[in-house]
Amino acid sequence: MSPEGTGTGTGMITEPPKAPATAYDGLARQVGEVRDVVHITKQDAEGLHEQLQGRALDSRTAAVAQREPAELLDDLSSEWGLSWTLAAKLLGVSQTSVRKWRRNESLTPENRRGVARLVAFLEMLRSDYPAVCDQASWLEMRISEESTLTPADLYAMDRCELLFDLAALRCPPHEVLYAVDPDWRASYGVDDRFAVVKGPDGLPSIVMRDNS
Amino acid sequence: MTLPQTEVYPNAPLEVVAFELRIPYALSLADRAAQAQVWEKIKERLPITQPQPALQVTLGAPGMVQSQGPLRMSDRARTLGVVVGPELVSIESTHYRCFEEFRDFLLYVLSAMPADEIAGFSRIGLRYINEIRVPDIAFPAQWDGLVASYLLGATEIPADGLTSRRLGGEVEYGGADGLRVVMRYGASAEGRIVNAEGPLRTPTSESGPSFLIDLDSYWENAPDDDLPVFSTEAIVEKTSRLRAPIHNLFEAAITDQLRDIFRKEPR
Repeated sequence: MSPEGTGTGTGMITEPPKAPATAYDGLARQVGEVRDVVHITKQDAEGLHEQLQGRALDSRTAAVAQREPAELLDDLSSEWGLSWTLAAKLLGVSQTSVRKWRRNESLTPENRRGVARLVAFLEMLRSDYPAVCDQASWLEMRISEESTLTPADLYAMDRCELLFDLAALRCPPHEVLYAVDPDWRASYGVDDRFAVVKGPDGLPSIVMRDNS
Repeated sequence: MTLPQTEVYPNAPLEVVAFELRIPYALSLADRAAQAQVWEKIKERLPITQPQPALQVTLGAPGMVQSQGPLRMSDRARTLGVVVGPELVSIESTHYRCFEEFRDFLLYVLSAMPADEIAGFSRIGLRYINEIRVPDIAFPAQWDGLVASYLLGATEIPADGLTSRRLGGEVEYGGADGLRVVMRYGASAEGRIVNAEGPLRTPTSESGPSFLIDLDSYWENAPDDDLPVFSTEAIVEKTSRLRAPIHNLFEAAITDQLRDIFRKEPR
């Protein structure tokens, strides 16, 4: 039979076995379509947002890059509170390189851009996501209790879009971890067989946990 | 008034005749004010109006409903109803006398539509629902001699001494130009297809044993074909073509014995 017989929608003709199901089927189909539209729109909005954030960071980097590299490096420490270890990690270079740059040794154009981009990123974090206080320590915190990954790791992986989502609380930590690596538990999971403790010399050391 | 071309049974078992025209979403029929303009033209025969309940999805802020439902209009006797909405025009009669009279009424209703603002039509359906009730018949096999034997074929299947309690079947016939007829038939001990508590008064409100002959004749615009322009004449002409197989199938489904009942016995 035709999906909907003639005159079935006006209340005069009732078809007991089909009518209730048809009513719910129709409603379920409509709501399903709304969900599909919402889902597609969400994906579109996410893609557009990511693209615009990337462009905003690029644009800010271009402006910051006009400043002296040594001055920018000083800012990383004095204004943003980054340790040189953390700065080197974020820039993807050794601490020795950072030390040389601070002594006004020349940077490659790519490294100069990297420094400018890091400053631009920190500026965006402060202006667009003011809820994140003390950006330096936030970058070093683990994203989740169950992972060793930190925001600094994500920055080093060039996943700024995930960092912005994390900062805005748009994405729960586990979703961020899955976006980084679907197998993150194996790759970046916390190994609970070991623990970091303060040794007799006062320095941190790794020891086996006592599970007895 | 045109004279009927086929025999009119004084006690026909016809519970309702429904005509339905499906149209692409027409903004000119979407809101109540626009529907009221149609009603203004036909209110002489259909003075009663009421909103037709319809499923609606509310989106956005609470209280914002995307569209108003169709408008139902009916005559004072509540045996003739018209429903007008942005996607359909429906006519129902529970006091049908002959096709010619129904066709005249269809013409009357269609003439009130804002034809220039309706893109076309995608489906026309004409449906006749007969619920035949004859005293002292309780089981499907007892309809033997009253309805055509081929409709009762399955009751003759040996069932280890068991008696058939319910019978039902559906056949779809297809013809040229997208014309189709769905014939649904069956015997049941109780129940009704036509809602006796619906918006129109039905000829009977009985719900005892009955034999259903439900004939739904329709035309659908094929997906590959252009949508035909909304034209009253074209719609009426197609509807007349839909009527012919209904009459023939009904006559083929009943016997002379039942015809005599329709001719003589009061319902």
